[in-house]
Amino acid sequence: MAFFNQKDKVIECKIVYYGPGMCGKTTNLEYIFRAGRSYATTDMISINTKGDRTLYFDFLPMGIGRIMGCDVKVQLFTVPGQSKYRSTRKMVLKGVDGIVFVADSLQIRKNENLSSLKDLQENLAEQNMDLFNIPLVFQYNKRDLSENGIPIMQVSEMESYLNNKLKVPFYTASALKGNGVSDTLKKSLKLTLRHLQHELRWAN
Amino acid sequence: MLLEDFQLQTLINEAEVYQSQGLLEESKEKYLSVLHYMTDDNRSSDTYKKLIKTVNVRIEKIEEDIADFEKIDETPTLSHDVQNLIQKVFSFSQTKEMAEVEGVLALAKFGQHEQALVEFHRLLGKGVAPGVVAKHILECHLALSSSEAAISQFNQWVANGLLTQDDLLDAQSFLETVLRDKGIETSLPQLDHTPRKKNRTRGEQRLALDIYSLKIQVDDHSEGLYEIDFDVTFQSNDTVSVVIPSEKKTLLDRFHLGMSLPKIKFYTPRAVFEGNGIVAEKTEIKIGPKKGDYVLDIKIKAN
Repeated sequence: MAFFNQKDKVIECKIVYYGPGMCGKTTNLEYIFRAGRSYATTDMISINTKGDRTLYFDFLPMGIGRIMGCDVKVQLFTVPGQSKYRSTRKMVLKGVDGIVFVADSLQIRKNENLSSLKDLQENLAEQNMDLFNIPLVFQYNKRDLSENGIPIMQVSEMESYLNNKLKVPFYTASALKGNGVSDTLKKSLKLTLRHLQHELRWAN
Repeated sequence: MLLEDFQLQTLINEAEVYQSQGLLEESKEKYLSVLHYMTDDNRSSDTYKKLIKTVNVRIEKIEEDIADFEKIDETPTLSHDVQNLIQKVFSFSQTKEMAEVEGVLALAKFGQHEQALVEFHRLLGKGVAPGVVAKHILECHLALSSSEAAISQFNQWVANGLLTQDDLLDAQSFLETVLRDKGIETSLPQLDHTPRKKNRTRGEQRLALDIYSLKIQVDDHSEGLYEIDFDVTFQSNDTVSVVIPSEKKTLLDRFHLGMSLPKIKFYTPRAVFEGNGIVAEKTEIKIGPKKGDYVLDIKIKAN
């Protein structure tokens, strides 16, 4: 639920990074924070447990400047990926404007990707939101692991079982190295702001 | 099945990478596969024995980590800054009061029940959505595994009149259900189940009694002291409102803002009591069938 202050021409939106546990959601935000420090309005806040597993969420607020006459602010969140934290994911999804689904390219995480996507669809439905209508971008992360001889899925395979019906934009990435992180965020911002422009009739 | 050395090395490599990724179950599975293949192998070189030992040590370490993760505190007390952040970023309502309730509710959802209790009590003190807030206060006590505290809190509300009868009944029903589900037998105070008047908002109602009319002494310089009866049209907190028809404007003019009204008789369904009041507001009705009449608000002062 974006906040739009017409008087001061400020728009604030929320993008959530979703995906299975240990797929690299927090790593995405950490890279964004390091690479785009000048855009961050405060430090990144992470609520983790041992082993850098997200317990509640990561939060990174950013000011991305003026777009079509409006001061655009964005709140980036991650959810805890482990299946047992479903109620926390539902909380974090409240008021979401756009989603980046980070899928793990590892062959052994195929089922977890699918479960997480179904979980996202169900949690959105509980908020009367539709996975097919929300600004959504896929990121196929950990592509670099193939260099170490680790079995990863082909992009075509991931597209086929995750994005066959949704047909949303996707990016390959190695969040640890920063590859594909900015492109994913830029696309998500573009889709989200375009959607809000239509919804809020902002910047006519 | 015998594996070539390089195949074993591939499995070990996978196990190591998964472990570094935090994928502990997957890593353990790979190490177990390594062990499985190695124990099927008849080779008994020192290097082989050493490798088996190393793999076993790694599996033990992974099992320890898995056990540690299962023991973690899933509701740690967060810093004050993070608690404030949660309240800020998880409140969405346009109205300030409901946004405040949402923010505190988010605190509770993130396991910060102690701080949520403090904040909910603050909201209740301000008269913000008392019925809703009261139930969340009870939920917080119950989440802190303190049924006794929840019961004690409810008893306090019954005694201090902070909640309206309707809100008390709601809170009682909620508490009874939860306690019954927990298998706790207790008897909460009996409440009057008579339906209440519905002409009040669920806002700031601290006066436990419903006043339906009042008698005010008026000092007319020509006629001396006399009493006038008014029907109460609205009651909120400790202020009652009465309507004075437009044709009695001269009567209205006898009341000025801040004027003390001694010895008012307040009529309630159960009793008549006497108290003092202060003229708090005079407003002309602008719309509706009583357009042109006046509303006189009287703030009740305890004796």
